[in-house]
Amino acid sequence: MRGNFRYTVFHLRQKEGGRAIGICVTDMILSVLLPFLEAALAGAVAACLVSGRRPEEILLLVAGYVILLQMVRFLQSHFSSLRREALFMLRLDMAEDFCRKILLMDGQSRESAEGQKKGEAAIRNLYSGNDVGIEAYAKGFCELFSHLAGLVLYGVIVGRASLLILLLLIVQTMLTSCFHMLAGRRVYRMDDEVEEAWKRFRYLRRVSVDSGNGKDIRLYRMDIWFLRALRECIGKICALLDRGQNGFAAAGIGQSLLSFGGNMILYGWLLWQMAGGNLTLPGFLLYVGITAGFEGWMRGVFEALQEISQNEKLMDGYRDFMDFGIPKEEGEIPAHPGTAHEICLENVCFRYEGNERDTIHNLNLRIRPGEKLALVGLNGAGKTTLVKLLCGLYRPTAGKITLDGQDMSSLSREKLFREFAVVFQDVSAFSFPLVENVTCVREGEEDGGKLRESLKKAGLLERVEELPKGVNTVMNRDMDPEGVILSGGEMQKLMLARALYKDAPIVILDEPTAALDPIAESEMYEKYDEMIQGKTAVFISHRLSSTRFCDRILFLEDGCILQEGSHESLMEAGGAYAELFALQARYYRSGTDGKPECPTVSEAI
Amino acid sequence: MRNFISIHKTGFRLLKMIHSEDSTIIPLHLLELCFSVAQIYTGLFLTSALIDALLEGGYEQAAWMAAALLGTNLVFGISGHLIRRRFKGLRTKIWLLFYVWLREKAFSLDYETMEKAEVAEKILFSERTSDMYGGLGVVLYHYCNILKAMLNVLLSAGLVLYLCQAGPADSTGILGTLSGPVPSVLLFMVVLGGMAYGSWKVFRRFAVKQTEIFQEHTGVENRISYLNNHVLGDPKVGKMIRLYGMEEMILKNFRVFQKKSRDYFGKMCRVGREEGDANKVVNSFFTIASYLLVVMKAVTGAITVGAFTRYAGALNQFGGACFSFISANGELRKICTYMRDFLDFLDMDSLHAKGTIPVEKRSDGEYEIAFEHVSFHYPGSEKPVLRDVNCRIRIKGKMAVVGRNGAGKSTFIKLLCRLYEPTEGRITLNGVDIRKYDEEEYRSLFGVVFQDFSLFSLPVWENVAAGFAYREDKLREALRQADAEEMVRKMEKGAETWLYKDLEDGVEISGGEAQKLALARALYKDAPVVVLDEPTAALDPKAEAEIYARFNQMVEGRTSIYISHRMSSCRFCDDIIVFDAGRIVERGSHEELIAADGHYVDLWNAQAKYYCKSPKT
Repeated sequence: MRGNFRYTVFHLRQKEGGRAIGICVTDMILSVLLPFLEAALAGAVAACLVSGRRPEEILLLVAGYVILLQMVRFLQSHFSSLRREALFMLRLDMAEDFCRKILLMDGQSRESAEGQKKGEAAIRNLYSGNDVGIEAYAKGFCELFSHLAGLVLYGVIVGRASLLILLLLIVQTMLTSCFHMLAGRRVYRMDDEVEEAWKRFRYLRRVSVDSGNGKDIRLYRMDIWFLRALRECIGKICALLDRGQNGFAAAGIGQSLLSFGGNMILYGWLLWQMAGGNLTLPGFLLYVGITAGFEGWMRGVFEALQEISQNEKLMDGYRDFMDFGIPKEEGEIPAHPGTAHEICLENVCFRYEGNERDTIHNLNLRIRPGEKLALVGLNGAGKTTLVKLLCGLYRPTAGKITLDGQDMSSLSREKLFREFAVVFQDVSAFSFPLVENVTCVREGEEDGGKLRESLKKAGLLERVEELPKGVNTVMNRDMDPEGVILSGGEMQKLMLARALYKDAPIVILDEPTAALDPIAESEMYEKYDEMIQGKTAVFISHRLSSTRFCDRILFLEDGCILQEGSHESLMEAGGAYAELFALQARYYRSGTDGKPECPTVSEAI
Repeated sequence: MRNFISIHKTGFRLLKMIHSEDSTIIPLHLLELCFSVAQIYTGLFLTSALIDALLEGGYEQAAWMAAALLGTNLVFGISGHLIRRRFKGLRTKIWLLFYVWLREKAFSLDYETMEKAEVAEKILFSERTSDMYGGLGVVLYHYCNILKAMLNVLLSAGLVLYLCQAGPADSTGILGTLSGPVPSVLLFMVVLGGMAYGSWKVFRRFAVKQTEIFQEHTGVENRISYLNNHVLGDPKVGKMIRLYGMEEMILKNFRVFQKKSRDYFGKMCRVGREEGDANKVVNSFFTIASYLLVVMKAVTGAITVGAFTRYAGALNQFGGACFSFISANGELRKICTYMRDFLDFLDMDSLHAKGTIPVEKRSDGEYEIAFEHVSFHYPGSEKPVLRDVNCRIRIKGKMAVVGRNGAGKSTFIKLLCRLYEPTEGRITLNGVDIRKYDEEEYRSLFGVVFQDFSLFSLPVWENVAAGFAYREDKLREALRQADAEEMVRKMEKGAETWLYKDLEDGVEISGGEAQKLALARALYKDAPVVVLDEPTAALDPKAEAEIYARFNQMVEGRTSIYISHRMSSCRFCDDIIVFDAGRIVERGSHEELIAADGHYVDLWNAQAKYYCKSPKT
């Protein structure tokens, strides 16, 4: 992608101000000036000494020169610190754009394999330290410009003395740069292999101390395994690095040989000039300094170019991600927000990227307003995918889903999502205060009464009130060492409380009781009617008992509706649902010793 | 000064650790260091000889000198490249070994110690700082700089003192007098003293400042990295964020953390820059004064122009070496401050002794475990989770543990596996307190599926066998018993298939499938006691029924403990323990407990009522 340089300058100016640009330019000028003054020092002092001036005069002249030199030296180091700071801050500030982008981009694109890959590439641009990514890219340009300027300045000085010597220098440095580029390319080619090894190391490093894994690691003695795997990984990384460095060492040796040869010619020429009386000692010293510097500038140019081209890839990846998955222009607004909606699925198919089969196949379904629907089926039947389609997180591969007759894909996502409260199977809370996890707004902006009500309905209020800081207690230990870690059952209640607080007209609950104890489960069933009063509701569970309080049951198999109807009608019809129910009920009904059905439940009815 | 000593105490300990891990690293660095210093001084001598020869018009001699100069440069250059070739690899190696050492220690500590928030914080802090400022490799690098600087200072100071001895040709006038041996030594001493004083001042002042900033660092980075890894970087939570419109809330949180982080780094950069500036000022005074000194010597004819370049070069080296000595010390100070946290962690003791007695190996698997008046509360919390628990686990019995959420079931298991130790009372194995047994040996008795088990992004077989090698038949048997054989066979590469996509392009498995693999892992371990904590929570009724049907065969000849909220599982266990609020309230067979009409009946009916004939509740 073109224009990365413009992009970087634009953001540097926008985020760090025009001052940052000024700093970079000043630093560039000083970076050229300083080496020049340094290189000229020996010659200048020698010139003074052999000039035959008065000692005091010489002393003053040298003092003046050295003071000037030190001032430039001070300023150069000061400005290069400032430049480093400015570029580092740029990287930090870019993170906010990135954060906003991730949060606001289209959900399905984010979750897709492509989106994840792009996201990772973008993260590398920002979070790989000072030497990789946008910071290094910007630095590369600063160095490129200052080295180019130095190269021109020195080139002019040498060229005025002898064009042939200039040519010699150019050829010599071109060759050494070539060696280095070859070595660099060799390393570049091993990039994937190295990255693979690093990825493995990072993964092992992360999971081996992740607190959730501690129990299993100890019980299954995986510590030995982890340590060995980590060491093997280090061995591999270092071997690869060594291999890469061999190239650079060879290039370095080549460079030493070349510079030996080149300098032999140069010194010979200078001595010959001196012997011929065309050059004085100060001139000799100046040229020795300048030619030594020339090589440095030229190599610097190549190194900067290499740095830029290596990070160009990351910049491309970053910008590619920033332009990816931009949500469509503001769509239509649902016609009847906040009311119990009707959802219709017409010949809906859905296939995950890269799969050969549809997960949902040609499904037709009409959910009436206020209907209570149960979704059952074996693992992998497509229940969770159906939920994601229903609430608009996924778009169907074929077919159409409508909300009150409006095509869902034409609706604004943001407005559409307001109509749903979904509890997913995979519970997780962010390490923010509990109140933020339930209300989804910043602490202090919540509706206290509604919060209490939701916690109470979810059966979590008592537990929350026991906490030292109540609803303001931070969850988990990532952010606050005194945070609270909730058990699986409590987490499910928390998720439920969040859905209740949202108070949306369509409620979808995916396995909301898996971690609840029998009494809490039963209480939830009893409160279910009250919770979803007047709302359209979908309940998914492996506990077939939950189907009792639903108006209609859908039995899903391989992405199609195999059976539908009420519990009674399905039981009468016999078939998949009845079989499954019997399978689960068996243990509750007949004793293994052949006792009559339902031996102990009589009093519960 | 005490600060200075303690820094180097930490530093030397780290060097020793590096050396014991790889004995080539330090000698190789020393060699390189000697070569590079030697190159500098031969260069200085040869250049000055070259200039003197040129001034005298001895071009042939000058040519020889130039050849010698270039020749030595070539030799030093090539040998330097050869030595440095391995530096990157070696430095990376010790940098990464830091993380391994940290884990070695972490694994050797008991679970309870590792679970403590402070300990986790300590590890995180050490790791993060090592990530950010470079770890052990940088320590070595700075020590090399210090040593090089010291060598340089010695050599250049010697040279300069030698220079001072040369008297001027004409010792009249102010300049002439000052150029005499004694005055110039004195002058040089004054300049040197001034610089040492100034540098020390700067060092002291910034040492205090930097420590202050470091203490301010209250996990700012921790927060940002949490957001990046678990909120923004995890596409799975994205759906929740969008559906619940949490974007604004997260963005606001992000901004708060971001601002803190920005302030922190801003301050750190500023102090670093100020320190650099202050050092540069001190150094400038030294450079200016020392140049004047040498020029004075030269103008009064005490030394030749060639010698002037030599001494100017030596002084330059001297100043530069002092600067690098100071800045390397400053850097070491920064690194050693946080490395001390790392060393503290390595020195940390486990909360509990590890025990030494070997566990008697019984081929009949008759291990009897008993809880005697066991009470427990989690560290840092007052609330008792278990209260006075007494029970004997029947050998080879099938035991079920039931109870409400938070009744203490999972904690009971954690104590049983010795992940935690009882606050009061004791647990015995064949009559001996389990604390007396060797920890690893004791744990080898248990095959456990925890409620929140973890599988890793590794091939299936590595997950199940939890090791480097596996026995084909044993693996197949374990998978079969866990009802996972079919599932694994369907995978593209069978048991060689990788799980998840973290590392390889592996398969994503559902919660139910993961549970089956975790179960297979517990069975593969072939332990005399099998503990299953909610092993079927994510399974559909059919898969659950299959596990139930196979349960007898699965645990045959072993002691088994089954924890579940699905009361149906009690039907195939002959001994049921009912927990309520941390106590064992009932115990017996299903029929006995039903007859007793206690807490168990409440639990049972809560679920069973939905499965009996009448649909109305």
